[in-house]
Amino acid sequence: MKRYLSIILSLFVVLSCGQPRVLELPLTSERKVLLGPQEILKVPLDSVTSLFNSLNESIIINGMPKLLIFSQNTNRLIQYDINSGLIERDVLFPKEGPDALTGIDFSSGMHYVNSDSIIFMSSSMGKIFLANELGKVYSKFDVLNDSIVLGSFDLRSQLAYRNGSLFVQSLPKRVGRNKSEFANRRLTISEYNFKDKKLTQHPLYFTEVYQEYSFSQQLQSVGFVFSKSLDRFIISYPLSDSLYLTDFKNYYESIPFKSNLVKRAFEQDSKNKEIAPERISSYYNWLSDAYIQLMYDESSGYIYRVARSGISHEQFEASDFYTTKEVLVMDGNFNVKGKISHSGSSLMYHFFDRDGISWNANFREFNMSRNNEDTLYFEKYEIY
Amino acid sequence: MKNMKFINGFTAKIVLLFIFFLLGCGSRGESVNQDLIQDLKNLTAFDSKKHKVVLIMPSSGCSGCIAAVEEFVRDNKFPSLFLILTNSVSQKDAVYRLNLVNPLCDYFWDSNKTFYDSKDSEAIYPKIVYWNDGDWLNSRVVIVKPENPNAMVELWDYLINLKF
Repeated sequence: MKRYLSIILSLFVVLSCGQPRVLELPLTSERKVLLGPQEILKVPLDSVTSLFNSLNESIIINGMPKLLIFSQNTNRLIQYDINSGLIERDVLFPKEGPDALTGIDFSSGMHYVNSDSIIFMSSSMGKIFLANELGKVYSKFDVLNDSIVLGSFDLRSQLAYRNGSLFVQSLPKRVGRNKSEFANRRLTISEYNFKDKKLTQHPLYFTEVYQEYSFSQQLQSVGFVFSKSLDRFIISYPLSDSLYLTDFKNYYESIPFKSNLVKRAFEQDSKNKEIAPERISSYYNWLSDAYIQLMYDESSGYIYRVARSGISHEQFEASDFYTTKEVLVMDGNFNVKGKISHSGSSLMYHFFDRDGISWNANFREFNMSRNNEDTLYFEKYEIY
Repeated sequence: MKNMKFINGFTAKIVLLFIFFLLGCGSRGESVNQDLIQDLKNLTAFDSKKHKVVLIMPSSGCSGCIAAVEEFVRDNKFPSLFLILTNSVSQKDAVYRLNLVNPLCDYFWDSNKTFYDSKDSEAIYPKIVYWNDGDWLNSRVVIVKPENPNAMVELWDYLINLKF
């Protein structure tokens, strides 16, 4: 009897633990470690603008590097000159009326094309806005759709622009639908053409990992940029060791660009009772190693890919989201130059100048521990 | 007969273990609340003569519960209400979000997470402490969670009755 009970107990343990799978990724030779930050730069914020503005972008105007921030607290678009650290433009969008940008919240996007065409996208409202630098919204497009939602499952969605079309990741609407309807369209980039108002979906077939495994939504948020000089889109999946170049028609090429921090990822186990249902997707995202960001400097052709290792269950429970991170560096000819160790803080802001890249310094060290939320600090890396 | 003895012994152990777990669960919740009340008593910013109710607000966790509490705070600033903002990253954002720029009620920014116990399974929910100054160890703690939908209505009734 005791033996039967032991067997039943063992079977129960094996069966209950064996369901969610773990994706194991192979290691590669270690990358050359590039130098640490050469300089700390400061950018002042006003007393209301949040320290954490996910809608921001590195832009070049008349050959000069600028940082554009949309403050969701105040509905202001603020343009900083990087060289002086001063505000050059501060435009208020009203909360109501024809120039209101409604629904700019989680998963929204912003992309600067030129001073007359700044694109905003509201994922929750299914709207695209075209605005100018004076705060006038001169065109609105309704992109609400029965089968897809525009935007990644992330704080912000990356937007790209090419020849009169906006490109953004889209996710299938699942409620009330049979999975087979979108089995081969789980990951798509949607193209919205401003002239004919046509929405076209481009399924991403390049990686099989997402067909075989069921990962949390955050681990399905792809990083992508458009390179004017290559006339190609560059795509980075959270769980693929390669980058992909594509025109979304018939050309694609994979380029290995691996970090040894990305070793394994956990499938989502929705039956895990230890974690509240509303946190389960976030839990399996944070537990997994992943490539979390792609940054591209059009003027030099350099590509930067951010990799992070997962955190422990205990860290997640304690809301400690500091993790080991590194930034891989690749030049315009797709040669890997090396890697830069990162503090593990959130990498929310970056900009490029003629020397290389700068990104926000560790928020905990430079802001929170000093009780200073009115200054953005940047670490500058001379790469070129 | 031998098997019967084993089952009896085995069952007894399981029953004992079950009782142990039940007792353990109960005492953990009570112990968390006792610690919370003790920490409140020791908090300099907390004025037990003025503050009759304490609202402890984490910034992440049960998003619906937190949103309901934040909406309440944006619209209701009673002097007898004391807010504790815990497990939150940005004080600047919280002050703006809750409209605490010129607050009519007092608040405490819990940067050391004194009022956030990550081991407490209910730490993801906001908590209301109805302070009993005469017998403070018996102050009542109410968890704002989906199973307790009247928590905020009860709080509003309590605060409005203190006012009039």
